[in-house]
Amino acid sequence: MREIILARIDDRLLHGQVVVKWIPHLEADVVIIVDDELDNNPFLKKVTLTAAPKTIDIKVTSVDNFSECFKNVKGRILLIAKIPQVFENLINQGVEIKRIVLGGMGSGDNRKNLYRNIHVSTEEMASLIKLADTAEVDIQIIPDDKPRNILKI
Amino acid sequence: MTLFNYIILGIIYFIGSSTSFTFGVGYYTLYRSVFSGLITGFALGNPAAGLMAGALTNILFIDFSSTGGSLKGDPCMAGILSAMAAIKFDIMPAAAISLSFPISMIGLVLWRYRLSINSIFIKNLKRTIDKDPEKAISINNIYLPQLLLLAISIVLVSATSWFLYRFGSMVLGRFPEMEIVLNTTGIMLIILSSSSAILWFKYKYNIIMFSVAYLVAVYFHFDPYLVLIVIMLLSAQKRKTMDMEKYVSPRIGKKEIIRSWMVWMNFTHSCYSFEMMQGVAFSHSMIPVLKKLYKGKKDRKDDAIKRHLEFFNTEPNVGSSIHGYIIQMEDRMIDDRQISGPMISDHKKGLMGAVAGMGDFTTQTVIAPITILGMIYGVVTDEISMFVFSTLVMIGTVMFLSLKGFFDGFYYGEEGVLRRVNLPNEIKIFKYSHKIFVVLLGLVAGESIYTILSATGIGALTGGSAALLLLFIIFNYILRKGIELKLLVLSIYILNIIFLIIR
Repeated sequence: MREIILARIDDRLLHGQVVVKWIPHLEADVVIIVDDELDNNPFLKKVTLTAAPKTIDIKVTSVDNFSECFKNVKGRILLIAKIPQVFENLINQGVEIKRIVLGGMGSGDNRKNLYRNIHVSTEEMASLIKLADTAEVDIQIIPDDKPRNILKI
Repeated sequence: MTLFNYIILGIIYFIGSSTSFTFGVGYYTLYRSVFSGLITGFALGNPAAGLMAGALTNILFIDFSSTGGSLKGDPCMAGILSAMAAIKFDIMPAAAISLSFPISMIGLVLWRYRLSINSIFIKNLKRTIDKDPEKAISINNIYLPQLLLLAISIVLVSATSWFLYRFGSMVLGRFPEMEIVLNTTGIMLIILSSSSAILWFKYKYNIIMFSVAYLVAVYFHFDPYLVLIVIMLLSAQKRKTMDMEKYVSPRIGKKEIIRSWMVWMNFTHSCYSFEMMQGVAFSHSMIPVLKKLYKGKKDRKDDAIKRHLEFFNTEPNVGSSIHGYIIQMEDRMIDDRQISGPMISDHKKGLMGAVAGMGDFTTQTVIAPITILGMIYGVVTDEISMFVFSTLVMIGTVMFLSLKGFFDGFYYGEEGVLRRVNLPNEIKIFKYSHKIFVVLLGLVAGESIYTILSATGIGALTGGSAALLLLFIIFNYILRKGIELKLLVLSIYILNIIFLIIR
């Protein structure tokens, strides 16, 4: 069985909230971090993999190599990327993503505050709205929070 | 209760929830019920009662973690109110807990809006930064947000404790038998929260380990020091020495690093906002280093300070190797043209997420709960030295880890960061930490229940305490079936009140 149970957008990628809250909550078996920059930086990649909890399978991949990486995993999968465009790209590649949550998008880079710690630029917002056509897109920082649908904000 | 008393309680709450000025340990000590209860006890003239009420309240928050900034309750407020109720109404500590626990939820309001309110200071900072960055940062990172927090704390806690005092006096004055009902409710709350805390870690034999420890505590009353020795033996190991090349700088030495560490540890969360999280504190902590690096070049120094003023969030103590590493990069940038400001920023952002995950695991699920259990264990077994010892272990660990992070990151760069990130794999005791937590919780729960029952003067104490284990198992079973904790807390209150009315 290979199923993407959740895709999360977070600048900080594999952050404390993911490790302490989301992974146990989702009972995920695999976390795939889709990020070109991280995949190309051997030091940061090594830090990320070393810091990851040992009880779970963690993969780091670039957008282009995603399908290759996806083939080699099994179980309940959590995807993490920094920006929504990554998931848009994956969906165009034919990957099935049903639910996307926004967990943390920092201020800066022409981003405007959307809700609490979620800041988005115009391009990102356009991409999120496009994603909302095929998937359920919510702001939900940790599992204990009530999901807020992106289209209703 | 005089007006002065109320204001003092407000100040105690400010000291606890501020977490500033305490070298990063305030959050793990003063913010927790056991300490806020103790200090309230001192303020109201009965430290022993305050400490006991605070310690028992703390069991309700033993699996408390702040990850994500959303909390299950407010341990500091709950500790203050319980201690106040125990002392002022002269009721049993478990009764004080159940009376004040629901009221203490008001503290959540502060946490909820604190991160939004602090945006005012971020705006103010951005407005005034160009004139004098150093001054702008210290005003907007320390003074203004802390003064506001002090004012809010005094108002909020005075009002809440005044309400509790009036409400408690009325209820207990009119129905003195309420104390027994509240006491039962308190016992059930402690049992419920322990049953829920063992679910924190998934392990098949949790409940069995917990039960055995509970019964051992009830029947044999282990000396806490015996338990301590076992934990010490488990944690004994030889650490590998560093075999890495040390980075030497003609500009930056121990002095600058320690100064930077002091700023970071004291002010990480003093202007915590959704916009920047610990970003202002990060920039603030770089000032001692940047001042040295750009001595006599005010413009370049100011630019560097502004460059660091961006979103940053990580686990503040374990994550400190990031700071050390960034200080090294800043230092190398002076001679090395390949390093640029944006490159430093990218490393900062890349590291903060990865380190935060293992950092939160290390401090919030291993170091804090185990040492705090040690403190409570000391209080309920009346071994104050054990309470003091656990506190010192906690303070020592947090300060040592954070300062060492700065040094390792600076002197050993990438290797230092990697070594820090590998910490949970390297330290043997981390492998058993979940089991130690469950066993300690069993011992603490057993001793607590025994202490509470002996205060009520119930005969056949040991048998009674042992029988209550059944309630743990039932609660644990219900929780595992997916019933929400909140619902159970509510039903405990309602049931107990119904019983009172029927009687």
